[in-house]
Amino acid sequence: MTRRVHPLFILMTTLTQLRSLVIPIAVILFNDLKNDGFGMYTMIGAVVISFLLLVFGIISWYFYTFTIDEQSIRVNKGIFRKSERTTQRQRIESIGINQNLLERILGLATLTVETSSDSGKPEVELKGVRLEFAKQLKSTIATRVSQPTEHTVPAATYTVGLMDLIKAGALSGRLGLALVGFGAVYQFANRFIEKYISRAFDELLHLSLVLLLILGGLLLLLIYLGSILVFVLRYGAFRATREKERMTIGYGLLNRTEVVFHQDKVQALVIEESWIKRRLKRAHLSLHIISASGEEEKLLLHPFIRTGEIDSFLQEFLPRFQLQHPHKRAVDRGFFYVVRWPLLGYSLGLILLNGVMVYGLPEPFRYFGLPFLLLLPVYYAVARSGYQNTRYGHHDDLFVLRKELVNRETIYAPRLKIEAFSGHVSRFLEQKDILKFQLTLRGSSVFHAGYFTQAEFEDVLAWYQQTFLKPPTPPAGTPLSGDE
Amino acid sequence: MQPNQPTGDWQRLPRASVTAERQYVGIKYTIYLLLIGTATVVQVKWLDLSPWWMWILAGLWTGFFLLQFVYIPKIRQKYFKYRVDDEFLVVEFGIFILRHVVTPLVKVQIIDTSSGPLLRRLNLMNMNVHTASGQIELPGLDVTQAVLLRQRIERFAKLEEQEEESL
Repeated sequence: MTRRVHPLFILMTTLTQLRSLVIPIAVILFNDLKNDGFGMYTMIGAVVISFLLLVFGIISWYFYTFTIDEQSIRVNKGIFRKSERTTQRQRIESIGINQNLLERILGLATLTVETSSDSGKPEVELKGVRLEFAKQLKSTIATRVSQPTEHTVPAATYTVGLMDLIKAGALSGRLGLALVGFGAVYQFANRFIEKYISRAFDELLHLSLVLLLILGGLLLLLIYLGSILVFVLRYGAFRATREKERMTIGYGLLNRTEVVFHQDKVQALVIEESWIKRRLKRAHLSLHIISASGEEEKLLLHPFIRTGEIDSFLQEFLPRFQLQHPHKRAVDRGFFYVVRWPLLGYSLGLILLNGVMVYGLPEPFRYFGLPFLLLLPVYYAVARSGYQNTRYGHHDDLFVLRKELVNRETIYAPRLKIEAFSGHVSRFLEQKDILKFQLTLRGSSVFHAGYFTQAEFEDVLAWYQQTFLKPPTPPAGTPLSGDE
Repeated sequence: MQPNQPTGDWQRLPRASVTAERQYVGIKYTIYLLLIGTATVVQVKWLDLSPWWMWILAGLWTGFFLLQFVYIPKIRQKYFKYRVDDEFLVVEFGIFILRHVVTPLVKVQIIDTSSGPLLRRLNLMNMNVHTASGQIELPGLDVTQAVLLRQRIERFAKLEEQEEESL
């Protein structure tokens, strides 16, 4: 079937283009108002431009067609420079439906089809299809023609509650950022005061400094709450469904995104447990997939799952990935080389901060930064015990690599999905018989952890270097085993 | 599934690749030198300056030239090696960081080879092996070596992977 997208597409493109013209229009309007009211020419210009945009929208709508058949999806577009793009269905990694605010108001959606091509952009992008139609289209694309449909497994669905989302947003690492911002605001406020208020108001200055500190704190709190709000808006109404091998994940309160993919296209499962989430026994699950949601390759699977429930959750929704405890520990002598650069960075940062504070602040506040230096040994101790958990392991066809200093990140990748396995080490450390492991997955994302020994590397290679080929199909005429 | 045994010997870059890289670096740095020289002459003759900062540039030029002309090509040639293990391409390389990469040949998507006039004169060829996740560069291979490697990889391009499901 060759079809066109919904005519509301015209309105949408026109509005989008008008939106990009907002600044020049505003400048012209402002200029006009500064003189006396709207000039005749401005009116004519506005009418002509709107008309041209509308005509452009209609023509581009007319030439924007797509065809979907059993083998491929074809999209034709372009007025002067025609383009035609054909995508083989077999190569589809995932399909997504995105709706921005404008599209939601108009009841339209953008359908994206992602393949593992080099460019970061989705291979097919159908703008302005009706939501209902997009859903229908998605399911026609997503059902394999040859898929057996006799036994229907009931679809399993889960959602993430609002409280969990708020907590996840609150703990998603923005606290640290807020603290850094706090320091910056403090420095700024301090400079401001020294410059503009004379020493005669020294008493008052202290008072206002405290006041400013409180104000700054409030501001940061607002920013922090805002970041939680953004998180909730972004991932709100999270809903995932598994239907046989097909998985659909949808989220977003304002801009709605829905991604559908085959379970076998999942490249890896990533479990992130920051130190604070570990205390709460919660984890953040994401999938590595060539996803049609565009900007990120990590697709959220669950933002705030109880660690005890991961096992049963995976069994239900991602049976290919089972939790397992990786056994091989990182070598102790590697710890120093892992920790030296972050430690040096933090030390320098803290020393610099303290230097600035000691020189730039009035008496009582001068030494407030010094206690923070105590964080360094604490960091060292935490990292030391965390490093013990940097591990790897492989079981059947699944490779597990865990990296931990303060936060823990574990990746589960099936062997057949690992595009390249490599070890790397600087020449200086080569003699110490240690190296880092690195997994490269489709779509140029890389995970590495270390340090392990050369012998362990050889061991993993022996596991990795098993055949990737399909077993040869038996020649015609051979009776199929297990058939009657 | 039986694990693969290493089936090939390590292949190294030919000595000529060092020469090729040196020629390339030589030309590049000659151009830089000419630029620096011209800039100095302009500043001294026409602008009446005594540009001490050109000494810094000259120093940098010397440093980088020594590094890139004398040491790096030799180190690269010394440490670069590759082999084909049954159905895997194994490459070891690196100047400061030593990398050991194993990639299955069935994952290879594109092989492209290129050779400029310098490489052609020495009968060499650059080869880039692309997979869906990135590329592996094999700089300055011998032409016969490169053709052989390409043939080996090409054989796998036609084969089917264990896992290729569509949605």
